[in-house]
Amino acid sequence: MSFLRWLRSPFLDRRLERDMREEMSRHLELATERLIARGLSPAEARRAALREFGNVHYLQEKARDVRGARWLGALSPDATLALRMLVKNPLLSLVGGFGMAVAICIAIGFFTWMSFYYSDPPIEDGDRVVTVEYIDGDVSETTLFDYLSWKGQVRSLEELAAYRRSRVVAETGHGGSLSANVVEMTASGFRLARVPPLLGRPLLDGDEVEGAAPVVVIGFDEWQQLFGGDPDVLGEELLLDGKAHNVVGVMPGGFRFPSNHGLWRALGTDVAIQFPDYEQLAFVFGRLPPGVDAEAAEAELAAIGKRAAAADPRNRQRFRLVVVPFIRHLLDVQQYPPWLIWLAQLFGAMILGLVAVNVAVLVYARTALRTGEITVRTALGATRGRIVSQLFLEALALSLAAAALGLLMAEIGFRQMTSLVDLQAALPYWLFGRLPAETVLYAVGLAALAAFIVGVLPALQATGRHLQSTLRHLGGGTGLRMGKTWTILICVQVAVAVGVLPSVLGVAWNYAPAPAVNFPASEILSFRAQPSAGGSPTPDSDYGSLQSELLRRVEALPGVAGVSFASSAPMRGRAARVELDVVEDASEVATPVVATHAVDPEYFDVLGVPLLAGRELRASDAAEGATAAIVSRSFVDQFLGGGSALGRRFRESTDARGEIAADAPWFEIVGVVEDMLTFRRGRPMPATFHATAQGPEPMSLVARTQGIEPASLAAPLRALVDEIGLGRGLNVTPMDVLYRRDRGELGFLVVMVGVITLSVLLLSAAGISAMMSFAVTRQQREIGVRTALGATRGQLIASVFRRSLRQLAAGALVGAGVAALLDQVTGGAMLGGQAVPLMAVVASIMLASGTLASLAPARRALRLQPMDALREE
Amino acid sequence: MTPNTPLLPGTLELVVLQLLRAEPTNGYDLSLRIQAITKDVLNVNAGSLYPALYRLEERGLIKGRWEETESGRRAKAYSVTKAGRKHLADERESWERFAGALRAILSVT
Repeated sequence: MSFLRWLRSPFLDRRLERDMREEMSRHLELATERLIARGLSPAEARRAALREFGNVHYLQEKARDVRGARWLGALSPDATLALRMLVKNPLLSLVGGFGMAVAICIAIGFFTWMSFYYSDPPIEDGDRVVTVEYIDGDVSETTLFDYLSWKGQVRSLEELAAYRRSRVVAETGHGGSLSANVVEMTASGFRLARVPPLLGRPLLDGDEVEGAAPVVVIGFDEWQQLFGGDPDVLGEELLLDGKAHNVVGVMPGGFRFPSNHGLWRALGTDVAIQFPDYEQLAFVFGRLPPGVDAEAAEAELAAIGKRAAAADPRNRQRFRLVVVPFIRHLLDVQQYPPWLIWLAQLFGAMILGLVAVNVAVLVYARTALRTGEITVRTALGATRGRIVSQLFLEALALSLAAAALGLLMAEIGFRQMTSLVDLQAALPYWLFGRLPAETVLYAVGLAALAAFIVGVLPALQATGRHLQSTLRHLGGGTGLRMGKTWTILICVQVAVAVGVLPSVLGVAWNYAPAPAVNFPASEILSFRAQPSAGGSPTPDSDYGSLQSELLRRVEALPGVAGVSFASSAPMRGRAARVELDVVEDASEVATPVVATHAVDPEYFDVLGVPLLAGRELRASDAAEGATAAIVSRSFVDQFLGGGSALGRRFRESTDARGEIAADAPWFEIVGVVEDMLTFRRGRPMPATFHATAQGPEPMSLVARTQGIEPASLAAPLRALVDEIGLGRGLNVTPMDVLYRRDRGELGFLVVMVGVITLSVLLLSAAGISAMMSFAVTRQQREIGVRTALGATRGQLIASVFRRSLRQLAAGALVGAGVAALLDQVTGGAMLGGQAVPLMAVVASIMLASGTLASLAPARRALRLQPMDALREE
Repeated sequence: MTPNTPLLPGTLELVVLQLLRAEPTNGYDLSLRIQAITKDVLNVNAGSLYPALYRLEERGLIKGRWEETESGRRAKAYSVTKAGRKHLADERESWERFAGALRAILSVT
């Protein structure tokens, strides 16, 4: 049957079903008429016709079987029944459906992630676009110099191009402004994309030449936002970080190549020619011509690179040249170790498996209780296939509803995730918006699979050979046996729940958001003064006085209570490794990493961060060779065992690799300040602070306001920075917004993990309770017989619960072992010292649901009269 | 009345195709016609006839259409499709070969 016909079949088959009924009733009418014509009374004729025709319902069943693959619609009465069963068992439908929805949502998440990993940019021959990278460990070390050495020589790549990205403030002369991702790209990048501009022209080779007029090509959205979609935009001026650029082209909507950009300006490669050793990191990409593979390109580029190495002072021996699909460098997948990806996959697969088994258990238990109904239907002529397909359809109704919910959850999660600001700058533009269309098909496939597991497998077992014996015992017991498999499943189920869920809950709990903010964040405005790109560097002597002037004038603004500066925004220090003078316990701190800041001595005063011990930094601490430093409370707690810190010494790494130079200076701790943020359980990043007299470039400032909205200072601050000539005022953000953004990202993750874990826990509890209830129901007869033989109530209750508890306890024990092992492996990070209470909670939930579920059927059995039990036997 | 003779397995479809080819008709008439032509030797009950019709329809060998009968009633009339005619020809040929062979064997004295 063709796919189209299959799709149509539900509608087609409803008609066939109607046809069949009508056809058979016409047959009966005609036969009756004929018999009346032969002299029979109408009633006699009708009876005779029916006799001749045979059992109408049986015939219809037989005819439906003939329809074979058209079961879907032919079963429309069954579909109605399936829906009715869903409503009749609301708890099963809700718990099972929600569990499946979560599992499907997770599966969709993995599927989408994997599909991202293999996606190509939506341009012509996008699958042949590759990135060329020099890799040092995990870090890309490709520079403009490499691009220039390959360019013009490489044959195995068409349109070799390079780009760098940055964030700028774009302003029009008419007051429009926005903070946007700008890409500096070679003109070859546009040739490679082969997407014609909507207006004007793309970047051309001539734009890259030194001294060429600065031009910019803008994206559709930027055109709308900055220029209101003005068709005469070409030739207009656009200020990028204060530098005037002429708009020469507008790209069509949806085009944000190469990563996620709406402003393109020419990449001047002259800097790299003048300073070959200058670390001009860039992304280099090109298109493989038909018939050329990545290995061939790699070999050629490496050979060219080797020849050029003479002119390049960097030590390239450590670098590895790779030619990889374009998406790879954008998703930066190299930063994740493969085992982490596998672990995440395993976790997802485990949750799926757990959910499927649980729902199967629930459905199995219910199917078992419907053996009577199944038997009666069989006796009425329904084939095994019909019964199985009926149960499949019931499961399908549930799993399709779950798939719809799962898709909705995934869609919401996806939107949430892609709306995170940091991700937006980093994720390729073609991954935004909605979930890929194929995920819907994937979800439907998963629903069918789930329906098979939870519907067909129990149904096959329920309609197996023991049906005959059930027929004999119709009305007594459930007739189904709980195999060893199910007993093992109970144990595994409890083990997984007790073993893994506490770890996940622990992680969610320990890193839960809502940290305490230990300074008045809502009164603080953070901003950055950055020298204009391309502008001449400010001489050092001038910079100091300009800065003092800026501070003075900011402080003079109405509503400003204080202003100070640091090397980075609060809670955004540079990561550095530290070495302590005396290590208390080497095993305690494997990788002492801190966030280090150079700060104005008045920094803490302005921020309002309390000093806990020692003294504050002074102006004299900023002098050359001064060694005084302040550390945060978490530094003391984590590295010094909470003891006295004053007078202790440490030193720090200064390069990005985290190596501490042999001659690195030692700093003495003269004060301890409160952590700016403290988490409920998670550890804050320890921080160190050194005094500086002059803010570095770019400098991060904080202004404390009084009686005004910090955000209202944004415009005057930008104007001041510009007026004084310190470049541009960027990222003017109230601290509480910055902090809320951090919290939002963390919160999203924690909520996801929490929802998933809790629903798995709920489902596990429901599964266990269904299993237990079913197992005890099966013992009813046995209990009745034993009562007849003189067993006391106490003995009976003990025997019922002993059996249940044995299985539950075995599972809990194994699970506790797994959890302990996990905790050990992760060095206590997962459970965060909460192993015992968390495991106890999960184990109690499992034991309680199992035991409670045993209670009702056990009581029923105890009330059963021995005679009734024996009669059933 | 001659006792009913059961159909040989697989021959019902041949019977239905042949009769429908001769004249498209509905299930009821078809069952009457089989009885009449075979002089009541073959009596195909509805329990066999309808599944056979649906099977043939499912395979695209016949096609059913609702029509008005002479008595003004609605009835579903079946006719043989092109594929059905070809199938009938093939089946007839193989049946005749089989029958010829059987006759040859039965004529051995």
